[in-house]
Amino acid sequence: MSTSIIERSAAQQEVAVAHDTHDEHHGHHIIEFTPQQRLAMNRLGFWLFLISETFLFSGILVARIVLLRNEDGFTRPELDQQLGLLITSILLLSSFAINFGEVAISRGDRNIFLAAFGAAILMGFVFTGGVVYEWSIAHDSPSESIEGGMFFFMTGMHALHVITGIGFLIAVWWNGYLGNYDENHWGVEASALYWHFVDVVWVFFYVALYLIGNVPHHG
Amino acid sequence: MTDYNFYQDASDAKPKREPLTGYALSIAIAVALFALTFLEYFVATTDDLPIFSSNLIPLVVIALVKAALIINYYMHITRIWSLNEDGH
Repeated sequence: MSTSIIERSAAQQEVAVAHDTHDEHHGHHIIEFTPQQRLAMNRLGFWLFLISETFLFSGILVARIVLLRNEDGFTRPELDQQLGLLITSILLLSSFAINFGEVAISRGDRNIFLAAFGAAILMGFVFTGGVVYEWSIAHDSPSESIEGGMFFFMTGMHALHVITGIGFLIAVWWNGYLGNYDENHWGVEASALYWHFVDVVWVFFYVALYLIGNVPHHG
Repeated sequence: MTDYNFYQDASDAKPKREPLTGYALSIAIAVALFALTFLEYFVATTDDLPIFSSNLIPLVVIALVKAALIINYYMHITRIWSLNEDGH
């Protein structure tokens, strides 16, 4: 049964009062929280971090909307559509694997968790490789056109987050391999949140870069 | 006098469908996300859409639905305001 924010605040206050002990030697008040309350605070803090990241990516999306247009409407860079669909599918599949692994660790299925997160890490590398390959065959360089500049900026900023996410997932996979997760698996949840966030960003970037608008013909 | 509970009988008559959870929910959301992605591709590569003059609005709507599915079912946004929910 869930507890509302108001109820939680009251409960937190009770526990805080119950554990608000006075350290006679150092003159400090020590407030102890239950593991459940700590988890709730971790979640809130991580979501606030993700919201701050949302501002960054929203700004980039707005820049794309404002800059990539001409008298005929929206424009877009000339990209390989099949490759775009392929890497988008791979990232979606990795998000599914992460969720599958998160379910597994919450049920104590460590082997399934390791397999699922391992597969997601591999797919993260494949996605990054696909983006790098798209850079190598791109028709516009960043200095040649605004479409090229936005393409490299958007995919570069996103790829930077994907690489960070891969590092995060590898650390969590290794901790799982060592058997460091039990009913307390906040590390798994946090890495999953980050990876899904990167996926949500790509949901919009894929549409903005590959699907909306027409390829302009530069004279 | 017989203690007759109408509501209890009514709920017994119709078997409740259990909501999808855990692995089944994970797979169902993945299938929906893939279907929407291919729909996006179809909408973007089709020149004459039957309803919309431009493919901009349907593409944005599909992207919003995909993001909502991920945020709700994979990221479990409701856990922020519920203390005890595990979600799996």
